[in-house]
Amino acid sequence: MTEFLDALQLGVRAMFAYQAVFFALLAIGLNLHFGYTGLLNFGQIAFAMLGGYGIAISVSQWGLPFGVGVLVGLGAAVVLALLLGLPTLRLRADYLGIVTIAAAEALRLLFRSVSATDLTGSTLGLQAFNGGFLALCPWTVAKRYDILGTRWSGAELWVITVGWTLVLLCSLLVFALMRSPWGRVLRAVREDEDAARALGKNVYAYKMQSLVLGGVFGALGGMVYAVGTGAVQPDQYQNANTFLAYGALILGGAARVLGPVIGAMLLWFIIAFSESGLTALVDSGVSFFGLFRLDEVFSTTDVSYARFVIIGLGIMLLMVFRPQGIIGDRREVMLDAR
Amino acid sequence: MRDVLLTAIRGIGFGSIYAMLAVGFVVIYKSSRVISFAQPALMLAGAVLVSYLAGPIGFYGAVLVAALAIAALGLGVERATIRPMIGRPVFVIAIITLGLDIAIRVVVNAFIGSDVRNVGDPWGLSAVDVFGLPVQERYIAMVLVLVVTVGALFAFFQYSRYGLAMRAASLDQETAMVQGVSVGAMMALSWAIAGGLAAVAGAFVGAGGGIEQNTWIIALKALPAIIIGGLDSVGGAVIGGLLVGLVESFFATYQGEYLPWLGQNFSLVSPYVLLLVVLLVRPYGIFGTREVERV
Repeated sequence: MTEFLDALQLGVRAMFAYQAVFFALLAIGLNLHFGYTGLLNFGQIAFAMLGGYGIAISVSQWGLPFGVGVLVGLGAAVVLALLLGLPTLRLRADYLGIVTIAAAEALRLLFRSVSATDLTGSTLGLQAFNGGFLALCPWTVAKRYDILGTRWSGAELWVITVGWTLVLLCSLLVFALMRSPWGRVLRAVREDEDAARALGKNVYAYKMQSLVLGGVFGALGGMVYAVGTGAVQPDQYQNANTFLAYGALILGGAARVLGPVIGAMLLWFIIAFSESGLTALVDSGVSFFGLFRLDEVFSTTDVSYARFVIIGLGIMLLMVFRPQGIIGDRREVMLDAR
Repeated sequence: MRDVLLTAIRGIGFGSIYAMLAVGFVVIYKSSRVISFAQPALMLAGAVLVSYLAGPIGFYGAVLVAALAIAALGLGVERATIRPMIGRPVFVIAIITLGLDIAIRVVVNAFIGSDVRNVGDPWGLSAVDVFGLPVQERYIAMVLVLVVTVGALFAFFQYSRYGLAMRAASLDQETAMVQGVSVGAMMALSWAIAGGLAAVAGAFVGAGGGIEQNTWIIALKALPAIIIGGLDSVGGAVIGGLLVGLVESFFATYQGEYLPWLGQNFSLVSPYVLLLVVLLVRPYGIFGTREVERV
């Protein structure tokens, strides 16, 4: 029973940790792309990678201040969005999907290649770039704080304070935009591009704006993640993260302002709770309805594998049976992206 | 001249692998109008199966068994996760295939471990002398296997009843149904064909160098190939695959000499740059149907 409570506590802690902020921001960007505009972006993680590396390269390689690094990261994300959108947004929706998934892997390969060591530090990545950010913290960074039975370092608290503020601001921005004429055009594009075009809207430009803005949200997420871990490595930005962000979005509910935020928190609760819960279950030697002992079949290292398979299958089942997620509106997600 | 020829041979060798993978993507696309992002996982699963079976039953036997097993896996996957989704928006199926890719890859990675696994191919890096050129045997094998598999596939599409039925179903599902073609069975068949091709490609990807967890990325190079060839053209996919292999190989050899300002390792991303250029100039590809442009 105590193991169960511990697992529960770890789960609740993970709901608020910087990883949840990371996925919330990725999913807010995807919500704009996929939920509101009907764009299939399968490489959101590339925007996050550019955000994180924008800060890391500017600060630790070029010696620029932290604020400039943020601007570099955002600028890089905008450039990537333009580069990916330019050839594909005039085409059917699956072309953007193909190009983004390929670009995300190509960028990661490029960043971890040996010849990029001077700029990106290759597979080892870059460290020591968040000093300028932590110096802004109003409380002691090194001290540990207990909040409701969970332990946080001062630095972690500062990262998540800024991170959740960002999530709040981005959500407010999306909320305001979706009530504006601009947002209504986006939804019209999602439902029927030809109809939107017949009304004199430049569909290509609207899709491009949506791609850029959502990419910038993704870059912000990457920055929070980079500052939270205190290091950037290419292999942190595996494309599986894009899929998990889609999972968060679909879990919460696409085309809802708070859908991605709720989804990201729930996803991290499930990840942390199932990991520690399953590990405890295997360790305690419980038998499976008296047939065999769990630790004879599973080792604790299998748990992390099993967890990802469960999450992958869970998201697939969600797509099949409840595509609108928890708070979604079924009418909003029955779109047919072509 | 010697260097140019050797570079071209390497390009055609790896291009044959990309072509096999690309044909798999196209066959699925033609039957169900969806890009299956699960192909990389199926390729890796095939390669791992070969690496485990090559010891007991030999490389060729292992490739055959792996191709059949992964084809069966493709059948099962199609029946369990894709068939119930017919008629639903295409992006739902695309996301499901992404999920499948990750789920299968997690399991396969557990069998690969952290080291490089040898697939037990008989060639390694040894070369034979062809008109005075030291040509690696594995490249010859790659080209041969492409010719055999895709040749058989063309014959199947052209001359067999099932091939005709598949072409009919991809052209117009309703009319094909009226003529008594089971469209569902044709979709299942396309997944099986793509799975078998992916497994064979996976085995030959490992020839000479072995496979590791990151090997699945090679399957992504089939994406530029299918767009260059045109999404719905099998012949185009073969040509696109060979072209991607050639471009990559020539950039690897000559770009450092002639275009040094692009930085080293540009050959890694050259297929994707080619992809962007083709999309800008001719988005429906060389042989594709001209209907993809919307806005």
